[in-house]
Amino acid sequence: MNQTSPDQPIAHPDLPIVHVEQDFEPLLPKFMTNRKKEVVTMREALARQDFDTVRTIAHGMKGAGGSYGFDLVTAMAATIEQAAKTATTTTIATELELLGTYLDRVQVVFDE
Amino acid sequence: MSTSHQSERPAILIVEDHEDTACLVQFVLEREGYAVTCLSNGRAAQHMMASAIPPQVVLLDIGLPDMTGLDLLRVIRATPEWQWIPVLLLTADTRSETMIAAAHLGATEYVQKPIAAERLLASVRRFMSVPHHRAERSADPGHVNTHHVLHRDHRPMGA
Repeated sequence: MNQTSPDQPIAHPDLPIVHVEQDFEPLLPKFMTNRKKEVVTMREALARQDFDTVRTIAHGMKGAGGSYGFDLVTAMAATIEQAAKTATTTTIATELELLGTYLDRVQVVFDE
Repeated sequence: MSTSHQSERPAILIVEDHEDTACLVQFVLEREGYAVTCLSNGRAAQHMMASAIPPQVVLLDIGLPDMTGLDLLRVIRATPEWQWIPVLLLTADTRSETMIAAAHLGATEYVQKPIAAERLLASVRRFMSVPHHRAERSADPGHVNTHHVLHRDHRPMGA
């Protein structure tokens, strides 16, 4: 995760940007670490066709993502949750790939 | 259990198993001066109900690991010292049958996830200045938002 203050130029204009309330800054490292761990856990669960675990984790991520300002995380988690309900392996795999890349590349701008 | 309950600040109980969601809600509420207790499962909440002073508001996740939030809501409404406490459900479950079931069990309001901090605070503030047993009479019907307020009477329907 890249972090930028509101008064600084965006370091990487080609990367996705999320605006987060300044007060939430101390909470962000754990939030990002936990989401990345969850992506790994969901990949492992998918590999053994454990769709219930995928669905449960995605459901929690759907609620947490947008609460911190990461609306795209919520959207991708919602897609994964739905795909897990129907055991649609290809959709889950594709979304997990996108989600993992997004979490690695997203830039956070903290707003006053 | 994570808690900041120590003074005469208004007390709020959060029952939420998702660590980062609970952490954020606790942060937002403590920033506003509330004394917050965080529990991650229904069993811990039931233990608190048996041994602690009731909070002024309960924020309750529907999807708990050991029991559903609706089951815990049923227990709350059946516990004399707790039955009048406003219970705000935190959930990403927007199915109408869930909301109807929650209303029948006596849920007070519905806070949709992802949680918007200002909307959460507005919901909490509504129930902080009104004595629990008078909440129904004091509520302005014009303020009832049918999308979020299940019903103002904190008793289970039919009680």
